[in-house]
Amino acid sequence: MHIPDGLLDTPVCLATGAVSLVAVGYSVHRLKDSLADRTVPMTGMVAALIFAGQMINFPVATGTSGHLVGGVLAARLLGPWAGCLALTLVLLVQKFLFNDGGLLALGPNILHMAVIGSLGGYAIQSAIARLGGDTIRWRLIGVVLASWLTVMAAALVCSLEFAISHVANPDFHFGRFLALMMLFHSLIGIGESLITGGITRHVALRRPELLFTPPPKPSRPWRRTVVGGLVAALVVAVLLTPLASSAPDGLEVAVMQTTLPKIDTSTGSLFAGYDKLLPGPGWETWSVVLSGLVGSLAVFGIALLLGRPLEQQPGRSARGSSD
Amino acid sequence: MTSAVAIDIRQLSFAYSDGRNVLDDISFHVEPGERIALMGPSGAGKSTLLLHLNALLPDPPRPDTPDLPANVLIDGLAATPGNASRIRRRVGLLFQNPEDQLFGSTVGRDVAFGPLNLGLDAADVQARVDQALTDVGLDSFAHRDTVRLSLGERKRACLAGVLACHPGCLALDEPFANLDPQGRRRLTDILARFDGTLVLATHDLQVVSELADRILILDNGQLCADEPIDTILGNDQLLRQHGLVA
Amino acid sequence: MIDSTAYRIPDASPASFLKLAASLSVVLLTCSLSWDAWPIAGTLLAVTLAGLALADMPWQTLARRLALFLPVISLVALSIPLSQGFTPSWMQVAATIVGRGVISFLAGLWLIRVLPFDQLLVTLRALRLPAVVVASLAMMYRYLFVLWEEIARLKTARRARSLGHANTITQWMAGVALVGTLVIRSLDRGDRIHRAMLARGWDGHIRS
Repeated sequence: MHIPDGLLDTPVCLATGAVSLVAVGYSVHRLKDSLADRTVPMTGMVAALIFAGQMINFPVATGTSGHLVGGVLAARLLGPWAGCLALTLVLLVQKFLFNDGGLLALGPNILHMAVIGSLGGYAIQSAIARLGGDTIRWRLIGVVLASWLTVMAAALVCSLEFAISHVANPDFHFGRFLALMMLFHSLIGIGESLITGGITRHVALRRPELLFTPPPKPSRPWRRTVVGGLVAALVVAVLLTPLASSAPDGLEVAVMQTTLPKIDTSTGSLFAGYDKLLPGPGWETWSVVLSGLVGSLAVFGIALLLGRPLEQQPGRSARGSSD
Repeated sequence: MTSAVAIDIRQLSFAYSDGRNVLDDISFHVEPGERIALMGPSGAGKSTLLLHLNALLPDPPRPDTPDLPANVLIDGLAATPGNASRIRRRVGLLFQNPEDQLFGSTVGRDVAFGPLNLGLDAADVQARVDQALTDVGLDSFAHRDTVRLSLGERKRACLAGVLACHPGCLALDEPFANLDPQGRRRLTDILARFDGTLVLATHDLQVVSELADRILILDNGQLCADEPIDTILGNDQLLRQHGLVA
Repeated sequence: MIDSTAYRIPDASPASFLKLAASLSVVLLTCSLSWDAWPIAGTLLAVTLAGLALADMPWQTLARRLALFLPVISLVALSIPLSQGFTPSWMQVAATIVGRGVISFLAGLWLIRVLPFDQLLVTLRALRLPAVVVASLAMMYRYLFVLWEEIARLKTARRARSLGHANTITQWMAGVALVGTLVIRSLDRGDRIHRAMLARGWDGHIRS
């Protein structure tokens, strides 16, 4: 997920950078509401923690291993604003200390991991947790689901960024690219769910008060509906977008219509033969739907499994939450 | 230099939310300039008591209402949230683990943290940093990275950071732990030169005999003894009873 | 004798701004070039390598880091012909990605080499990055290596306890427990640091 420079077009990097700047800037602004004196030590420490945690190997096959991204984890520990800032700090240090990730690519990287990953991750997990009364168990369920969803959402956004970078290229099959991205990231998302869920469970069993509890606010039921609606919309987007258009090529057409009159879809693709195996929408659609279904099932399973030993108790107040 | 402070602890009781580390009805008085040692087995409540001297406990703090009797008074000032900054200016607290306290990037910047928070101007901050580093024997360490210090150097750097605030009282939590004999000697000499009130939580009997006038023994959250140093050091049975000698 | 500027954070030097700008310019230029402009790319590559040489970058280190980066960028680049077809045009795109990636990577190496982290923080602050962000960055940097060492210690302890070859599930559970333990320890440490800051008069206002 650490995009290097050169992959995305410069205008795309600058545009996403601008969005990231606004989002992170807003997070910093909102941090002034909370305990101002805790921000520096806790954000700095969690940023260091996430950085270190990202280096732990979770072997997948011989030679490859998965890693924690940590957006949802940071949000679960610090809340949305500090979580977003923490991930931003991680990316900055990775770039400016270890040359990991691009300079222009900081824009999209921060968007994917800090904004979508942490801010978005907090919104999703807290919405889900509140469905179950914000008990420890439901917080864990929220964390697991949010981990997968944010990975998928970031992959979706990244695919769009990539598509825009290559929109001038007549041979670009967005559907195919999207399918591969979603398939691949569905697996990565499962990994993130397992890892983040496992870590959260580990902490919840020992020190549940360390999981961030937002200060009580006047209840605004419409807000819950809005957030719930957004989450639902996100799920729909992630799973059903390819089906919404009549075929993956429909997406390509939509993208290319402004630039070219004719689209040649018969370039020697690696997967051309699959069209014959699965009737109806092309293999791309099936792979995305499959990745969505398998991902969702796996993630629900993980959530239930990890949540089992936790007592059905209301979330205890975190330290400092009374301030 | 802030003048030495008096400490009053009146019927102080405290328990953590999970029931840990209770303090049970502790009362004692420390005269300005007096040097007391707080001794007792691990888990007795010494660290907890020291945190109260800086209004860092209870956390979250109790509401600042005038009708609640104050259990901790520093120079007559109640250790309440409203008085927190004034309390912390009078009592300099040195924590057990120097790694937690030395958070600046260089020694100089870390020592300057306190004076800067006091609102002093650049020249005064500089003067205090220089003086504090000299006092602890780290004159040339101002530009050294805090990551690359030995344990003894770290402890002295932390002490410099506290001394730079010119407190009237030094409260130290196990400062001699894990120090080699040379480090212990150095630290003892520095503390001997400090002319404010001294509250020293330690296991180290030898150091206590050099630095303290009076010993308070804390065991299981209760104050078991409060006597002049000679009385306690001569009482082998008492020392053994509270795990101060093997 | 004691340096009279012992504690002051130095002002951002003009050189630091230039270094940031230079690195950014190389990246911007490289990523804006099209395939036909490869002579310019070659020049940028030469300039970046020259910069690295001037910065006394050891060749072995450079080669080693490049060797770690090349497979990554190549894989990323190859994913495109993989999904779009191995045609000349897509191979060209892939090659462009590798070229841009490598030059930008080298420019990044140069920047790290010539701009120490604390100078970078000062420069970022001068560029109006909020004080709370810079202070949190400094705090993170301060404790990064402490946490790293803690992980190493936890790993060693775990290895000493584990018997025989661990399977994937055990390794995952060990990794989760490792990070979980680190979370608890780090949050507690953050709490202690916060207390130590309060004890010396901290109220959230970053002063220099």
